[in-house]
Amino acid sequence: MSRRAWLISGAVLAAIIVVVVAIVVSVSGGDSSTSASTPSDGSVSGATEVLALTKGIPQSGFTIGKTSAPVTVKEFVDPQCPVCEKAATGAVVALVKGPVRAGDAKLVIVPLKFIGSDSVTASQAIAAAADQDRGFVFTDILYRNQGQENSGWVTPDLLKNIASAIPGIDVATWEKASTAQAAGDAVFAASDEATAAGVNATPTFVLTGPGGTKTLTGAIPAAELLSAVTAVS
Amino acid sequence: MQSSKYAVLAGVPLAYLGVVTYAILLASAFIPRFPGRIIALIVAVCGVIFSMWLQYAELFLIKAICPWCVASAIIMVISLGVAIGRIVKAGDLKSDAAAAGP
Repeated sequence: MSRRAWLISGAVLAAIIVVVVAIVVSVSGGDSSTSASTPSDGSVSGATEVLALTKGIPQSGFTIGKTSAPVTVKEFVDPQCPVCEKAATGAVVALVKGPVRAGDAKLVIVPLKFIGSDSVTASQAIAAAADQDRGFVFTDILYRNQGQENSGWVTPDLLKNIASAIPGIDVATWEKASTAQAAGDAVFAASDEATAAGVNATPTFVLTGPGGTKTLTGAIPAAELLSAVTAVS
Repeated sequence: MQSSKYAVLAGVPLAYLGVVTYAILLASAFIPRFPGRIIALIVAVCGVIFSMWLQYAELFLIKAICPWCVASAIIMVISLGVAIGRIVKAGDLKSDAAAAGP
């Protein structure tokens, strides 16, 4: 073999090793911000924070905010999506604290199931909470306990602990509803809605109001979301 | 895919990595002789392996197809074919005695 042939073989082999190692390290490395686990005492992270954020704001189904609010913000989310978690603890907090609390906007959560089986279980649990008008709060607390995608982090214990942490939820009724056909149908209906709206990434915010419609995607800064609310008002 | 943890590699968004990869691939076409050919081959090999990984992630982990990733994978496979073609055509794999190419 020529010197060049040896050089080519060595370079290709090195390239293969570097890429494979990069993929393995990247995937197995995880992310400390998304590796939360259920505390052993049955409590969940962030419940106090979320309940304080939403205290006194009307809720119905998947919606938080006055139903008469002129602006509707639909947020298409996957419970497993780490970018949605960033939005939930960033831009969405600003939205709820500002226009939603002021009665200028309402936020509707549309939970999707595209990442995997944990998404299906979590979205059905959210749908069951929405039956008791606690869809947003349930979703928000779930994000504060998010685990690694498709790792089996959406356990019955975690979901039950979240439901138990929300005042006003009848846990037995919620538990029954979360595995009922209706919850599954609600998740499929959400997927159909996302398809119809052309949503192919999460989170996607679709804002509608007297001033028109705007669509924002990804971990947008709070200021951008609030500006969009003003723009469609 | 764009919202998934698979959308970043070592903290860098794949979109940026893609831009850099294609820029190097393009630049290699203007680098003359053996250095240009081997750079193109290395980048294309890396690109194909990574694209295969993304296709696996789409089909079996995320269960959602990213059209841009599929298009990129096809382009990378073609680029690898072209890179190998350049190497073979230039006689880089022949013995030192036979390889008198540039």
